Amino acid sequence: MIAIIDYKAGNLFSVKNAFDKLGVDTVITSDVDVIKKADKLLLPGVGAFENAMNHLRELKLDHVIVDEVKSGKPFLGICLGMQLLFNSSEEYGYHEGLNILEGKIIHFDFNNVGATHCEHAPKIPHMGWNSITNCAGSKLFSDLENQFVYFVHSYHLVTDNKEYKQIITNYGYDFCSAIEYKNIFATQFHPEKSGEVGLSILRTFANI
Amino acid sequence: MLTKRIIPCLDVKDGRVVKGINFVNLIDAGDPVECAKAYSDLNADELVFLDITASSDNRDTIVDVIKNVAKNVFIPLTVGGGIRTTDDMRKILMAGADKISINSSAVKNPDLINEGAAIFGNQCVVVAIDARREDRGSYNSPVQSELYNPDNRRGELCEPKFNVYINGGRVRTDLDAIEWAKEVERRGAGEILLTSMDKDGTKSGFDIELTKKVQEAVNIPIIASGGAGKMSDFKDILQYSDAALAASLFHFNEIGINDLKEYLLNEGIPVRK
Repeated sequence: MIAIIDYKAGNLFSVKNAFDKLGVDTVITSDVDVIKKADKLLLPGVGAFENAMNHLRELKLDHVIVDEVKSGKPFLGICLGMQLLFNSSEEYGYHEGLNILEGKIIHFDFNNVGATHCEHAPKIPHMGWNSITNCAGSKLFSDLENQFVYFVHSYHLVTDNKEYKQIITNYGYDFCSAIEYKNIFATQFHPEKSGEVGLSILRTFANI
Repeated sequence: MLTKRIIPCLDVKDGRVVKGINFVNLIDAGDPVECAKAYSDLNADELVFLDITASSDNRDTIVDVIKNVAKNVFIPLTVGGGIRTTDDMRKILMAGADKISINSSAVKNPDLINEGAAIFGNQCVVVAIDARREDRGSYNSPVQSELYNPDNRRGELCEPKFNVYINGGRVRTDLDAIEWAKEVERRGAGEILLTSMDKDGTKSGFDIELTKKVQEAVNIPIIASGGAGKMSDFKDILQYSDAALAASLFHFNEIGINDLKEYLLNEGIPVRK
């Protein structure tokens, strides 16, 4: 059973629908006991970082997520659910995250991108289908080099930790679009909206 | 590299897809799930459902349509038509839509854009703009902008003016389309669905002039709509827009989405295959 953690952020049903299609049991929950008993955890999310952290704290889900992930339970974070894993985000100010992984979430910054590469700076949000690279050696993405997945976001991860497996996407410059470390998996893009490629990622996670 | 999106638009009336979907191999061309699946299999990048239900009594059926489609099709869904409040937005989004598109209601109550963006995020709020060239005596001239403007003593080229229309194009407003585009961006819209009423239904190509003007005015993605007739029309407009939308052209398989994408790739336009 995969627990899809409900913290009043975004469309949880899209993720559940995708697992239903794959015949994988899921439950949408904010119950600490259900989360502790689940085999795997999934943290979805659209919306603002600060708001999401506040909801996690109010529902007392922050500590249980940290404990369960550190105990080795397979975890998949999607979009905002990826960003929340890290130390901080600069979305509307400075906000602390769950501090499970090292890194920070920053706004796309095209100031250093040479004007020779493109006439206009890329638009924000980064919205649409883009490809993933550096997939060799990963658990969820190894067969998906150069495949397209669906993105909608204005902020992204930067991390110096070399132990993390980073999947790369180019938008103005190369950024980390997914990450793997031990039992932790996270995608900035939306596998539940990425057609067959996305479904295959969710299937692989369910089979871990 | 971020790819350009090809988006079919489906009209939904009382829970059924209407205005003719004419693919081969469709079990039921009026079933929204069948149609959505067919387009998803053909590599459409997103789907737009436009609710044209006449009676408000049947309005809730669009929620059922979206629920059924979202259970079976895993690409982004945008829903427009008849959305007037943030409660309407919530219903549609909770049913499984990823974005909602507002048009007349945004013009009548622009705060709806701000409220929707604040609650659901900018990425959820698409503002649809129906724009039409102002009549300056040569209304239907496709090259109006290149005409010499006798009122302009310096002999500069006449700049066309585009007005915003609402209620399905039936009501003209005084809003300037370019200024309105800027305003919807400022209010938090995540995307603009820009339809040229001059071009819509003509199959004479998208409105490059209109799209270019809006593109220069805003920094959010633009979906160009209206006028698609042949493959090169897509190539031409995607220089200026992030996505291109069409309806009957795809519904009647006059252009296959896969063939179109093959063509665009050959022409150097990045698309997802």
